[in-house]
Amino acid sequence: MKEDKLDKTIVDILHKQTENTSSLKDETFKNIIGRIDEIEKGGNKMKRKSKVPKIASLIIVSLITITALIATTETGQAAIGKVRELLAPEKEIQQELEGQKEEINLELEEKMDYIIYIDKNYYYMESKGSIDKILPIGFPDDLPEVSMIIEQRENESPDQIANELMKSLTSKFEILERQDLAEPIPSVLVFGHGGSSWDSVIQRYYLVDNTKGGTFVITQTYFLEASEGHGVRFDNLLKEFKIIPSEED
Amino acid sequence: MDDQILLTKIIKHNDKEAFEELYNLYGDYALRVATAVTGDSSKASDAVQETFIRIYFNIKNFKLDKPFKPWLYKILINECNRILRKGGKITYISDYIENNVELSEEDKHNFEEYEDLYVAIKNLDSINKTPIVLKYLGGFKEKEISQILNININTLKSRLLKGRQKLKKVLEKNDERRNTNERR
Repeated sequence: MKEDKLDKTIVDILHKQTENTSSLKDETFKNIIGRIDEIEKGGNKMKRKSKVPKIASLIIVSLITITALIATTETGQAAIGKVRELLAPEKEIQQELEGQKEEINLELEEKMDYIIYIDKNYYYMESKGSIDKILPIGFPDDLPEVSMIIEQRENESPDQIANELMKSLTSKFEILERQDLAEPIPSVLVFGHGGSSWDSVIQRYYLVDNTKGGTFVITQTYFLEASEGHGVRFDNLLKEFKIIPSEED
Repeated sequence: MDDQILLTKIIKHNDKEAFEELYNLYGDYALRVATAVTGDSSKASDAVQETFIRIYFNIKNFKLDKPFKPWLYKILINECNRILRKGGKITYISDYIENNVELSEEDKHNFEEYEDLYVAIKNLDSINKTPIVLKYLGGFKEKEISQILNININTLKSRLLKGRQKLKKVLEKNDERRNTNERR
């Protein structure tokens, strides 16, 4: 059979097979609107938050303050350039997945104390209080969790937190280890592996000195089968994590 | 009205009329693709419902300078897979024809002629079936499908090739059988 004929036959069959679904279209939409109304009336957790503009305005104020404070010194001039560079709205990086290289576009997420670049084709950021969570878009509910959480602990060094994690996670994981890392981000890493089945949980805690006596705790959670996908993508995002200096720095 | 205008209205004003218009643009093919992937129109309706609800509440995460359709289908395919993982009965094409489709005589002839191919598409492993459905029913390019499925382009090409090879064999057997019958 010629390739063109095969293609055309598959197209025809799939269209014919599914043409009667149009009778479901109106009913489906009624259900969608009904559910949305229900959720909105009930104040469901899916409801949109209006937090972003506040955070954005605070960042702008901090950056203006930092810029004003450091602009008069020589090192300050260099620092301003760095801040500007940090705030490029988009970045293109090359990443390798399953042995294949690909170019991806990352977009800036600005927070009070740090910035990170996210591949928004795959992930979005959700913020609750002081915890920021990076989650895959449209991820199925019945698979094990995939997330990267960024939070800060004041007055605790990476070493202290690593020691605490090594004690508290012993019973949770089959393998639990600690390493000092330079890549993807200079940090102390505590990582736990839950086993060797496809859905075994993997957690990687990157403990980054926040330069103010505290620690950024960045927790990646995924499962064994997602190591080559989300695991690699999360590490690539971490390469773009930068701490925003405070006014005292 | 184009996607960007509709999406802007939904993002800025939670505009439900714009949301309905968006659904009218994409709902039909979303239902078709979900039916082909799940093999069941009621599961397809569930998947499309969940997809559009997610879109409505997560639209703020969508970047207006990106194409909307691949984003929608990424969510839709994930929903289909979630529903399939939850289990339920498998609908075979013979049941589907019997229960769902009022066929013209010409259609009946075509269905009979290619019944084996229908079954073959439905029986493909989902890793081969979903790319085939997105390509031949969804009208996506290979690069777009690889992004929707979050897989490498070469992996996608290999999955499409394997799927097509299986379907080709079925059609070739059909042709052989028909030729033999004609000779008799």
